[in-house]
Amino acid sequence: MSQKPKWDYNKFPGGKKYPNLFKPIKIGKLTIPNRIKYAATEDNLNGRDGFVKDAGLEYMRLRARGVVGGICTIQGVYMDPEGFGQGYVGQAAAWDDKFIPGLKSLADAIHEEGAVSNYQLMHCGRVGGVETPVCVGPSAIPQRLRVFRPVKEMTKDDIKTCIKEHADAARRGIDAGFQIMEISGIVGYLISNFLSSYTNRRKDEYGGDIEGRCTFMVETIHAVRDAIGDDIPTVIRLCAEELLNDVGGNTPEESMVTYKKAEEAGIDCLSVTQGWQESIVPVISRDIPQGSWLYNAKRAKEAVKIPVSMAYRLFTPDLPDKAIADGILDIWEMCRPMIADPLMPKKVLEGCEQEIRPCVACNLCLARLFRDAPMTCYVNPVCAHEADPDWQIKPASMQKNVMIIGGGPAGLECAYVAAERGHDVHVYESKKELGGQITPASKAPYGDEELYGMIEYHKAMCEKAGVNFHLGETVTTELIDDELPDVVVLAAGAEFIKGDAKGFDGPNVMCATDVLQEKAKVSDKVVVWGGKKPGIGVALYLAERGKKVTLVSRDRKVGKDVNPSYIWRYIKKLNEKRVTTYKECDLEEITDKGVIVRNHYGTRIPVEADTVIYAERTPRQELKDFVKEQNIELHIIGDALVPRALSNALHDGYRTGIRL
Amino acid sequence: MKEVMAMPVNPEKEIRTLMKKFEALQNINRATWYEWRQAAIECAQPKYKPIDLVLKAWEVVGHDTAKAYFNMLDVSKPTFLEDIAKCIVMSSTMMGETAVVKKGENENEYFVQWDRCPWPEFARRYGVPMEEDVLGCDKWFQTVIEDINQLFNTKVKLETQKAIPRGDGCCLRRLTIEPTQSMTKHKGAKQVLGDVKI
Repeated sequence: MSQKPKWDYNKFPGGKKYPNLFKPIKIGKLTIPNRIKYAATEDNLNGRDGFVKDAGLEYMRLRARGVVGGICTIQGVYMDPEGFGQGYVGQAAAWDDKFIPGLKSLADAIHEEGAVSNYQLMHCGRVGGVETPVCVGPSAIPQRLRVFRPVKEMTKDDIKTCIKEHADAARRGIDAGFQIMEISGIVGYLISNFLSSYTNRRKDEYGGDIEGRCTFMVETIHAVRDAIGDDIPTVIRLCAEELLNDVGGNTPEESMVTYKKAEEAGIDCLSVTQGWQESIVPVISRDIPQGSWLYNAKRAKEAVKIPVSMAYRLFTPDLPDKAIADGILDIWEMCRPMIADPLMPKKVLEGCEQEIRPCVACNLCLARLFRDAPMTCYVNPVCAHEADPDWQIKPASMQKNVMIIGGGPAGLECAYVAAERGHDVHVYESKKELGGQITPASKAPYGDEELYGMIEYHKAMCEKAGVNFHLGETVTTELIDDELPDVVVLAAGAEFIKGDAKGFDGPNVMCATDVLQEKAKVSDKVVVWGGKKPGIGVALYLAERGKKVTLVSRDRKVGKDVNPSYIWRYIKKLNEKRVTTYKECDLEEITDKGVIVRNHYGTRIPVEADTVIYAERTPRQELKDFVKEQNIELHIIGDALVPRALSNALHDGYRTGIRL
Repeated sequence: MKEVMAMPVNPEKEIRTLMKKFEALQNINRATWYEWRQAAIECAQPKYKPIDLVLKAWEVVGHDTAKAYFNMLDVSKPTFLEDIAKCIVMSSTMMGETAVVKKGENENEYFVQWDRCPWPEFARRYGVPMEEDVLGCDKWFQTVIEDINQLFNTKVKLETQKAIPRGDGCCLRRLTIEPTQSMTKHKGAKQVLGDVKI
C-alpha cells in the first residue's frame, strides 16, 4: 500500500531545505509520503453526545491541508456507552455504529486534502468519566488533582468488556475509512494507568511487575489487530518517562519495556511522549527549551525497530529534520504548533517560514478543555471558528484609509488583517521599533523570548499585505486632521503607572520596562508593585540575577492575567527563587529604607528594599475623545482598551481587522 | 533590623492585632465544628449515633487533608516519613495546637507530640464526651495515612499512644514505615530534564 503524494516536494524550497522531513516512510504496509504528523488533539468541538459537528470537521480539514500529504490524526474517541472513557465533554464517541457517518466525514475531509487519515482510540481512564460521578482504572488510587473524579477499580469483567470495546470501536474507525489505527496510552489515560506502578497495584494477571502491567495493553493491541486485520498499520502512544518519581511511577527503564512489549504485540509505529497530567515537572511549556526531550526519542529508537515519532517542544522544522538525519527520530509530530497555525508544515514546504504564526506554548488550549469549554488558541483567533464564515478574512466591500495608532501586537494583528482585506493601512508607532510591550516582555526569563516570535510574524505578514509603517512618529490631533483617516484604531497599549502611596516619586522608584531593557540600575533588595504578568516577569528577571525580590499584588491571586494552565509554572519559579509574595496588598509608603505593605484587613508589614519597581498599567487613550469629536470611526483594542494578556491583544486585533 | 524599625510602622502592634484575629478565627472554626455536630445529630438521630456521624465527618476532613499533603510529599525522598510528620505538625499548629516532630530509633520511625490542644476545652464546653475527641482525631489521621499509602504505594502506620483528652498530659502519635519498592525505585534515576543530554 502506498499513499500517492499530491505534492512533488523537491519542487518546493522546503523540500530542499529540509530533505529529511519530506521523504517517505513505511509504517506497517503503508508508505507515507513525508515525515509529518498532526497529533491527536482534543478540541471539545463535538456535541456532548459524541457526534461530530461542523466546527470539529472544519478544524480537522484545515490541519489535514497543513500536513501536505502526511498523517493527520483525529482526536481520540471514547468507546464505552457509559462514558467512563470520556475525558472531555466534546470528545468524539465511537461506542456504536451510529457514530460511523460522523467519523467518515472526518476521514473523507482528511483524504480530500491529500493527507493520510489516522484514527485514535482513547479511553481516558483515571482522567475520564467527565460526565459520570467516578472514573475507572486498574486500582482505586486517590486523585491528587481535584479536577478529576474518584477512581473505581475495574473488575476482570470490566477489563474484558473494555478490551472488546476497543476492538469494536477500532472496527468502526476502519468502516469509516481511516487508514491508520492509533491507540493512546499516555499522560494518565487508561493504558498508561495499567502500565504505571503508580496507578496499577493489582495482584492479578493485569498487575504486578512491569510485564504483568503490560498485559492490558498487549491484549488490547491483539484485540484491535484481530478487529482490523493485518493491512492497517497500528500506532501506539506511550510515555518514555512518566515523570512521576514523587509518587513511585515507572522508571525510564520500565517505560522501555512497555515499548518493546508493544512492538512484540504487533504495533507498527511508536509515538514517544513524556510526563503525565499529574507530573509536577513542566513538560510542554515554553520554559522547557525546544528539543529538550529528543533524548527520549533516541532511547526509543535504541529500544525498538519500528518507526518512532515524537511531539513535545519540537516547534521548528530544523530540529526534527536534524533528528531524523541523526537517526534518533523518524516522524515529526505536533499538535500545538498546528493549533496556532494549521498550515504550518505547508508553509515550511513552500519556504514561507516567516509567515508561520508561532505557538508560544502557553497551554491556553488545555486550560479551556479542562474547563469544559471549546478549545481556543492564545495566538490564533480563528482556531475553533474554522467553520464560521464570519471569522474568515474576506475582501472589504469598501476600501478605507485606516490609521492604526500603535505598533504592538494588537495594532499589527489588526493591520495585516485589514490590509489583506484591501484597506489602505497605516501603522504609526512613536518608537523606532515595532513590538510594543512584547519587546520588554520577551526579556523575561524561562522561555519568554519566544513571545517575540509573534512580532516577527506580524512584520512578515504586514509586509506581505502592504501595510505602511510610520516609525518614530507620534500621532497628534494635527496629524489626524491632516491625514483624515476613515478609521482610527487606537492600539497605543498601556502605560505603566505609579501608585498613590507616599514616596512613589522618589529616586529609588523605577518602571518595569526600563528594568527589563536594562535602562535602570537596580539594587539588591527589590519590591515589585504589580502582581500581573509584567510584575511576575520583572520579579523573575531580577530573582534570576540574584536579587532579593518581594512581589506585591493588589489582586487576590498573583498572575490573574496568566492562563490557568501556565500560572503554576510561574508560581513554582517564584517559590524556587524565594520571591516573597503579598496578595491583596498595596503599598502604603515608600522610604529610602523600604516599603510598608498594607494588607486588605489593615495589617502593615515593613519590607526592606533599596529599589521599588512599578508594574501596574493603565490604558493609553489620550486621542479617544478627539477622534470621536471628528466623527471618525474609532476602535480601541488591546491594552489601550483594558491592559490584559498578549492573547487579548491578538484576538482584539483580528476581530477588529475582519470587521473594518 | 534597625533600619526597618526606622520606618513608620510598629511591627509588634501589627503582629499582635493579626494574632488576635487569627486566634479568634481558630476559635470560631472549632465552635462551628461542634455547632454543626449538634445540628447533624439532631437531624440524624435516632438513625445514626453521634460517634458514627463524628467519625464520618473526620473521615471526610481526612480525605481533603490528604490531598493537601500529596503535593508536599515525594516518595523518592529519604525524608518521606519525616515530611508526613511535619505536615501533621503544620496542620496542627495552624489550628492553635502546639506540636513537634521527634525522631524515633531510626529513619523508619517518627513521633509527633502535642503539648497543647484547645479542642478538648471546646468539647467540654459543648458537652461532648472526651473519648469522642480522641477517636475523631485518630480517624482524621488514619484517613490521611490510608490515602497517603494508597497514592504513594507505601506502608505507613500511625498509632495513637497518648491523648490529652484521656488525661495523658500530651498527645503522642507514632509513625512508622515499612520500606517498599516505591520508595527505592527512583533513587539515582535521571528523570529530571537536563540530566540526560543527546
